Amino acid sequence: MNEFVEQFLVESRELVAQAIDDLMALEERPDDRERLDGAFRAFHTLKGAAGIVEFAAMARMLHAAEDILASLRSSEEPIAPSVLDECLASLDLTSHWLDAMQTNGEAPSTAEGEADAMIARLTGSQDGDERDQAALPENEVWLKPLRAAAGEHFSGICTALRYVPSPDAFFQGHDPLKVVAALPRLVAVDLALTDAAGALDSMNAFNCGLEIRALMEAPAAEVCTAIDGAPGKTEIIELTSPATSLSEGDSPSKAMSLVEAQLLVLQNTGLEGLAGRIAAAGRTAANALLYLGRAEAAADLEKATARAQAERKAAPLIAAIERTLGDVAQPERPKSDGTVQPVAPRALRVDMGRVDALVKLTGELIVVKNAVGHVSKLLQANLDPAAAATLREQHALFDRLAAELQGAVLRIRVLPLRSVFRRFPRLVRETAVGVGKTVRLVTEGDGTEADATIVDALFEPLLHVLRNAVDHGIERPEQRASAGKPAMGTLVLRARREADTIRIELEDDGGGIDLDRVRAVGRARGVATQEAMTAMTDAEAINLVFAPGFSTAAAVTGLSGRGVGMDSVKTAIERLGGTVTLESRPGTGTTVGLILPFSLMMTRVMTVEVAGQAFGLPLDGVVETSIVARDQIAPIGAGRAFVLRDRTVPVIDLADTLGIARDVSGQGQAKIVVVQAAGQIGGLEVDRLGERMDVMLTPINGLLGGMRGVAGTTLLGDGRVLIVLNVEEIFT
Amino acid sequence: MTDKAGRRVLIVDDAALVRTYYRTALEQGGFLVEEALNGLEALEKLLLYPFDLAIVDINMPHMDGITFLRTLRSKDIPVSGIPVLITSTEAGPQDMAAARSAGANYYLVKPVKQETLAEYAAIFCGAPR
Amino acid sequence: MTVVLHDAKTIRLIGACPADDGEALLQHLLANPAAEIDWRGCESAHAAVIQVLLVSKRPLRGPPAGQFLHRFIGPALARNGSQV
Repeated sequence: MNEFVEQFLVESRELVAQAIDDLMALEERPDDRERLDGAFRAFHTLKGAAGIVEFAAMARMLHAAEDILASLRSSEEPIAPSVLDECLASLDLTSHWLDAMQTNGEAPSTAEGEADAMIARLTGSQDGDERDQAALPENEVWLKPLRAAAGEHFSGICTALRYVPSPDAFFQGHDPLKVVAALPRLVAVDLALTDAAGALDSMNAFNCGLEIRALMEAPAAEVCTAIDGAPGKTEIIELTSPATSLSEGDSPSKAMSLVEAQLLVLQNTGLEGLAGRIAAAGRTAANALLYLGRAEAAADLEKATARAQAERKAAPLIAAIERTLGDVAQPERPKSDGTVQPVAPRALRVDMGRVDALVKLTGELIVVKNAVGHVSKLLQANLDPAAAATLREQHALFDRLAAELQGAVLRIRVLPLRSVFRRFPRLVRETAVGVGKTVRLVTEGDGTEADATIVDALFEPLLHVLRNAVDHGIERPEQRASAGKPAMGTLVLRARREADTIRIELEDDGGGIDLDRVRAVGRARGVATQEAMTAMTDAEAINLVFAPGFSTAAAVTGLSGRGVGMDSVKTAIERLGGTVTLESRPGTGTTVGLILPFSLMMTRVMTVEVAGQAFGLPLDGVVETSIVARDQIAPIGAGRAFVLRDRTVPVIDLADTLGIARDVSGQGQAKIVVVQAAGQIGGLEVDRLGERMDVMLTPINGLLGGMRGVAGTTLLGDGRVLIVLNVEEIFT
Repeated sequence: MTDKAGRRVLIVDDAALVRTYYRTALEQGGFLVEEALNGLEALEKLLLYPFDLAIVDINMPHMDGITFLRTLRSKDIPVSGIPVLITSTEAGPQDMAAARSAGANYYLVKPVKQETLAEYAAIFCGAPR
Repeated sequence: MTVVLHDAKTIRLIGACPADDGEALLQHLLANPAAEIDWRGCESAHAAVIQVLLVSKRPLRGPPAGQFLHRFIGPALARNGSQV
């Protein structure tokens, strides 16, 4: 057993639950392909998980069950209840094993015998014939009759060939069967007609419409040489290649068998993707040679790859690989030391407090780095050029290393979203029962990672979104029935990493958002003016649900109708530096999207100065900076605004907002930072525009904690505290 | 000289445990690791960032490994030449043949031990022993 | 002549049948819908000829003289529905 046992137990339980769910649904609707696929995949993944923790009996038993599901998938026959029963029984047994493992930390000793008994039951539940063939991948269907044709001759067979001569082969004077007759150690031949052949009374005897399949007791390379030059397409498959079996052995032999395997990738010529195959095979083989320290051979292979690509033929690369296989005996730089590398432990458990200390120290280091940068800039003028250059270089190096250190440290702080997601299935079930609906939750991408702070803070808003979906999204069973939907509603919670952000989506298959109702409620509660409401597009109207105090539930339920609406979700997500989107497909469902930063720590800011005090503005909200003549800023209503490229932009004086008094009457021009907040454009008047920098944002607490419009603080190079503003809050 | 540092590997597998298991092994070996849950996601990632190797499962929802490989190799763009290592629980010759005919550079039958995976990744990336 | 119409009931393949025999065989088969094929004298046959045999599914009287035909092609034709 290994260190993955804990995760294994958690995930396996989820998979068992999911598989049971799917099998039960299949019992009710035996022709539900999606459920069948779902069950199959759950068994498949469970089997893979068992392999990782080296629980052989479980893997073996689940493999048998998976085989049965696979045959059901490829069959048109209705699913027999007895088969489902046995599959469910195998899940029961799995649960029982998981319990034992949880208690004892290892697989129960009785598992082997139990697995054998279960496998017998599983295979007995299905009368088995004619199911293997259908399960074969389409392009391999031809292999089976060929093997059958070989019959008793079939022993140490090595290579299968599929050869489709070009239609004009006869005209070109070729006899494809003569080529086949000359193949090495032929065991069986099978013939088939392509679509080109046609019926007897319409066939053209001069056109070749044959597909020839052959089985040989010879290695692929030999077959490849024999068939070389024949016009048409060939597919060569080495059936018992040592290169693709569970290869054991030392690293050099692994590397060499990897090189050799590239021949097989290249030998299926005539099939699609030649350029990609050549590039991939050439790169793989050359890298394997580099691994072995055979740099010259690798360079040789790279040249051959380039030639093969230029000629659009695999031959030059095949020849080069065969050459390298020929002189395995003399590596250019043989390794003299045979020492064994010590194997480091693969994972450590570290207390979160220590990681946070490390994050804090790194943050301080970044501050020192900024300070050094500041000092070195001041010094530049007084130093001799050589010393100044050295200082610059060293600071650049410091800068880069500090950034790398920060990246590495932040990676420690990540957690998979699973740690929140795993709590939801039960909560969703309970919620659904409470409102008389049946709803299942499917999670995808729960291995996606994010900063621990973000992951932890996601629970509340996500739970709210989920409850909303159960409560408002999924229709009542009778409504679903009349809409032709399955009675059970489905929520899909998925997460994935997108560059520096995490995207989480919750999709429901409910009725979508009733826009007329949203507008009506919006009017009734006064979240927007009548005028604004009529001007709104549907997409804009949907966003009304994010307005404070909005709820469209016809009946206030005990769940989401607690006076906490989607606005609280929006606020919570934005507090984490994220955004919320909403998409509704009338009649078919709603998708709520949460986009969050991967890491909380780094913020790119632009510094500005007001009355001698520096502030930071998060760069992601800054649209542009502009210098405007003061007489261009006109009073509008209670505020002021100026026109920027035909667009009226309201202006707020940052000093006023922050309660700092200053005199600007002497200045003819105003410096404006144009920002985007809550979908609106606005201008912030400042005294000075500063530089852009990456800062570690410290969440505010203490005195500043309750201050509106402040996102956090960071220390500047010269020791000043930079207050980073929350532009959104300033404008709303 | 080549070095494992900075070598990027894309793990394509729908099973979270497998991804974590592989990731741990590879990161321990100094590789940079990205993950994708299916073939479609893998294609997106491959177009976004340069990778030195993709380790791909066969049975996945949305787009399975074989379809992924065929799609990848059939494109006439540089990224179609990325080396691909298939790892799958299927051990039948027809599965291996299907993978190879789709353009896989190698095939390992799951479960693959962490040491083995890291070793193959190093070979694939040309990191010297 | 390597493809010979013996009578309305039998078409004989004799010796080494070249590519052109494919068309000759096809014409004989179309003209004599009831004829079967006797390839006992056939040493070898071009793929064009075998292709016509494969499409026709006519009864074949064998075994053919040639080793390759006997060992590999006959069984392949049989699996595809020719009566051998």
